[in-house]
Amino acid sequence: MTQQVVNALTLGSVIALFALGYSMVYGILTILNFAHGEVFMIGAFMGYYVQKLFIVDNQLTANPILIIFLSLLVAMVVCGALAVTIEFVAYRPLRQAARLAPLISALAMSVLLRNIMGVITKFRVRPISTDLLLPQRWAVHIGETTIAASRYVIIGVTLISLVALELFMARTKAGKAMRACAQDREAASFMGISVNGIISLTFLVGAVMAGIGGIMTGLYYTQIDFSMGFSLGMKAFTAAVLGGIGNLRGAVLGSFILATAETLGSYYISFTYRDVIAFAILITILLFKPSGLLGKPIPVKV
Amino acid sequence: MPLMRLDGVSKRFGGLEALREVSFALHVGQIMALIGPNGAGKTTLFNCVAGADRPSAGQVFFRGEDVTGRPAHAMCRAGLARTFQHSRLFDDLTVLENVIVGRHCRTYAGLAAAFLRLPRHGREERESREQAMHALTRVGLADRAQDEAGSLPLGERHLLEIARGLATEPVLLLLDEPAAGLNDEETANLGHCVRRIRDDGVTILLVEHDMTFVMDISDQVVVLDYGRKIADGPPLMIQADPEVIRAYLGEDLE
Amino acid sequence: MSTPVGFWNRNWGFITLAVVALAMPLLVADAYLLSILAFMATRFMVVIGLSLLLGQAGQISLGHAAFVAIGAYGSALLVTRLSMNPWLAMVVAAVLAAGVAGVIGIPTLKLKGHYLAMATLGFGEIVFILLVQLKGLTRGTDGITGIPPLTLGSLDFSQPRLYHVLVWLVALIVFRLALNLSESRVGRSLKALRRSELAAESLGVNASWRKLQVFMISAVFASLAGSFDAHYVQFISPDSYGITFSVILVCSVVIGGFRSVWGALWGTLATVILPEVIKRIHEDAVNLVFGILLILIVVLLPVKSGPLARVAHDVRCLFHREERG
Repeated sequence: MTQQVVNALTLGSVIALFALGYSMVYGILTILNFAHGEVFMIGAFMGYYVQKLFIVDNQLTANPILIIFLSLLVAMVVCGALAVTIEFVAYRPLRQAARLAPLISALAMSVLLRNIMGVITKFRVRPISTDLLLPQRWAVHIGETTIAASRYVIIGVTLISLVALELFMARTKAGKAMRACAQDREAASFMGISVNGIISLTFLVGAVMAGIGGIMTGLYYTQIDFSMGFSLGMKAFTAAVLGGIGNLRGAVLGSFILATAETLGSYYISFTYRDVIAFAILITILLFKPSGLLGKPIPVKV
Repeated sequence: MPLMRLDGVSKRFGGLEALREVSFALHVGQIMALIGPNGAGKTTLFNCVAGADRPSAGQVFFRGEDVTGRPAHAMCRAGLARTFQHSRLFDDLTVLENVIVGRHCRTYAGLAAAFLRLPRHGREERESREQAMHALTRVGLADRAQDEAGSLPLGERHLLEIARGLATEPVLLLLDEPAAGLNDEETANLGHCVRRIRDDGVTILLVEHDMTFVMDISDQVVVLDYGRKIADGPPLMIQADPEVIRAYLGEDLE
Repeated sequence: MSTPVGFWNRNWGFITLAVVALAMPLLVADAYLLSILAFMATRFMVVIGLSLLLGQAGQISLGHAAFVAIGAYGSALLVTRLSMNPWLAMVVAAVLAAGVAGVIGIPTLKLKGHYLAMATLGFGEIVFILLVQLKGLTRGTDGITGIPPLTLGSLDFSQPRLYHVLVWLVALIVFRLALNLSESRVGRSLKALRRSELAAESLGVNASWRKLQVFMISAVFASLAGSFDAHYVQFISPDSYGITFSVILVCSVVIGGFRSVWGALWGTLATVILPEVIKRIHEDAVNLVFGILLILIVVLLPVKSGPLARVAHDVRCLFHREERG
């Protein structure tokens, strides 16, 4: 049982890092950033490439903590840069069009990026050396359950990231500007906030979170492939909608609820259908409470 | 028997009470105006009557029947047409095509007739065109039939919305701010148009802010403030009503 | 209006297409090229349906591959497991597709914009997962083999030229029906509905019912296409019916321009011919190029003049709904 709790927390953490990006971008631009999944996936691959540098003959050539740290750094930088570029190329020109146009653009971006990585990786799965980086002996034992190092590292890193994000949004000028723009873009611009800059920043922050999440996901699943962005992306999106799209706390809440449902469901009901659980939840929420648990009701303007 | 009767109609949006127990009656052949300060609930009332929204409480009677909560397309079929505050014309269709859409509720050719091009379909299409042209003539836009709707100036846009509503063969026509943004000449033209429509047998209920227009054209005026009805009577009585003046404090009530 | 000249003026495009399409087997000798053209016909059917849904009625579906799959698997299973007559199986599968569309359409078509997109995406994915996981029924990723070809009396439709004529005949009928629909009273109600659901409802259009009707029709067209493909290739597997296919279908509608149902033809041409050309250059780059193409088109929307601007204008018009004003 404790094992399931740990699994749920770990999965929830990974999804939360991912889901935040969706909510942030939706909150400020009211668009669904379909390409976010691919940013996440590329973050994971950055981890793979960095780690490959330090593994020779199945041995680490440097301190694992250092390697992981470096992976995170590279992922954050690359994902951030990528997301800002995507916004500039695929969304900014469509600012004036109503919401569905960026959706199609996002879809196209997603297909594009997914296939570029697919071609680069020759559509094959790549392994992540979790057992080398976070060896078995680092596992923690509580009573009868063994908590692998990857689990508590993921939960820990996520916690730190979430706290950092919270502080950023609440205490820094940039964070407050982001919240202002999310509430009312026009009013924010009247108060001298550079809206374009804040939008880029939003994509950046969301992508940095996704980059961290990508590395963590690699450690969790011990293998990554070019299509992981889509499958996990649907779950992250579901989590964001569940919690109330546009609401950051909601995204985190939704992630853990979804992770719990999936972990319990796959354990007690069926393992193969665990993905169906996520989609079923998605459709159910969209039909009955599209504003999610913590979201505001969608105003009907006549 | 009144053509339309509202009985204690209320509408709540979450915590906000947009309409509070509004009751009044509208008789055949009248031109009634619904006025009130901004946010008084006038468009909300239109929506509840026309079927775009349903009242939280109370009832709406139309031609003797309880139509509370009936959807918009059913209200259209029942003989009620409406225009919108920010005109919702089909801009990239022609003026005539816009009005032909109005014939939808009076024609019947369905999927089978459409797919197979049955003779009934062709016949209905011809009739629809004629009726649409007739509606355009009634508002004076017949010569603009082939122009793109988006190219029309504001005054003619309002007239086109009215023509579209007329094409549905209504007994009651709801006009939501038909004079908004119009200059004196266009407003006078609108007034003539509305009177002609009433003389043809269509009852009119309109929402307006232009007080000169309202007082000039209406037989009866209902005043809303914060969702409540605060006055109901002929224009001269309304103009002198102290409550109405207070609600409009600061507004020119000439 | 019923003069021969009048008839030609109104229908010359369709007649030309019909003649060219049906005459192809006489002009083309290469078997591979013929099979490409045959695939075009079934792809055309699906895109026509989607064009009615997206272009005329303005409802986006990112899960349409699921309906093609229902047609394909429906036909395959009914024929191989229950030995049903293939033509009857095709009809049954189409009815099933319509039923599924009706059931999921009722709640989801109330959603707007990206919510609808996500819901249809979710639906498409669920169907895909079921196809892979319900191994007892669908044989999972192994797929179903040994699907018999279509026959009618002494006509064996596994023969490429014969099949080509059959499938294009059906595609042309579907096209004609769609054209008739878009130029009819119902078609007009769809156009109104797309531009302003509120205004259309106030003029008597029962929006929910119309959207559902078009959704079901597009599901039927997709299902028929899936059935024909299944009988021609004689093998199906879930891989062909994933999200990528759904996205390609939407691409086809957008690329072809959706002001009119004719856009479905151009879009199909683009998305069937183009991959063939790319395949000769680099096997895996197909989806990549689609992605680039779509982005280019959607992002070049601000272009103000030339043919591209018309496409851009149409896409903008599609998306400018109640949000404005």
